[in-house]
Amino acid sequence: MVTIRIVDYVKQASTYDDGQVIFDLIANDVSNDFPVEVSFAGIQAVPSAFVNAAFLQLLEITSVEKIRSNLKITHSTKFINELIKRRFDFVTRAAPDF
Amino acid sequence: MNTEANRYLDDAGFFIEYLKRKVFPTSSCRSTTMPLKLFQADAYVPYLYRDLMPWIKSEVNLSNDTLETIKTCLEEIFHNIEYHSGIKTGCTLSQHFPKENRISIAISDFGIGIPTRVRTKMPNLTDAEAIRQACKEGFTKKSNVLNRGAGLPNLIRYVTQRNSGTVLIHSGEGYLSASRGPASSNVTSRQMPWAYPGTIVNVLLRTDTLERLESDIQQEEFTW
Repeated sequence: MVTIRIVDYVKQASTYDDGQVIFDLIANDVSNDFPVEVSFAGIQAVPSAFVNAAFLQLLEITSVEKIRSNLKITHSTKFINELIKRRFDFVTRAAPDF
Repeated sequence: MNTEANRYLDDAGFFIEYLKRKVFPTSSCRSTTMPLKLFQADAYVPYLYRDLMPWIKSEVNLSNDTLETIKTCLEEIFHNIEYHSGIKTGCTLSQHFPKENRISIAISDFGIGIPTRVRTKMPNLTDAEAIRQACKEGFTKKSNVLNRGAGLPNLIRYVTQRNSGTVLIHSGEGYLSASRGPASSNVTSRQMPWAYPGTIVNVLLRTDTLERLESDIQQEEFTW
């Protein structure tokens, strides 16, 4: 499994552009059924722009089932986990065609 | 404008920023004030990371880590300006009210305003209805529409429900107030008799509940 440690690729996990960097690193593997681990080591919190770009954007290229089975989030905090889960829960409820 | 208001603005650095001089010779920034500052919307990080957050930290005597979630919430406002206001410049002013256990952080822009932006999709809404709509969780599949529908709801949910703080938003003739509710934020919006030319977001943090936010940055195993 490939491991992407966010702090190795962006100066701060803050903006949509920061999230885009992570998306570009993981999108191909996740959509092609290769498991990817994304590590938040050293990061305590991220805003929604980062989560939307890095992870929600995956819904434009693959299914939520593939994301859940191929994307592993590690070293994350309660704040980060709740934000990611809430965004995915909302989108899959609001747009069940994903 | 009355002398008292002018003196407050002078103390807050308003005239230094805009006129490059003080109006009253005796004016000086109060120890509990983070002076007024203009910033570039796409370059807010140095101000937030190196000025505002260290100031809050020193005022409440808490660690950077404990305040990390608050920093993230404030980033939602800066992002809102950067991605949605249509302009490049914003303005901010913060003040600590120690006796009231409150810190007020006001961040504004003179961009197109939330109602105008919302009405490009929902043209029949009043300003008050449009602000309310902007504070509901949303989503778009178009990745070129950056972060639509997540920033303000995220800010409001966290500040009100975790910090028991208050979020006030004035944009155009719409005014929204969000405070802690039993299960979710208590949000009300109304039409104002005068318009704010852009958007101002005022976050009122409770300093006596900030310490409890430390539990939110504890590591936790992620499960779908």
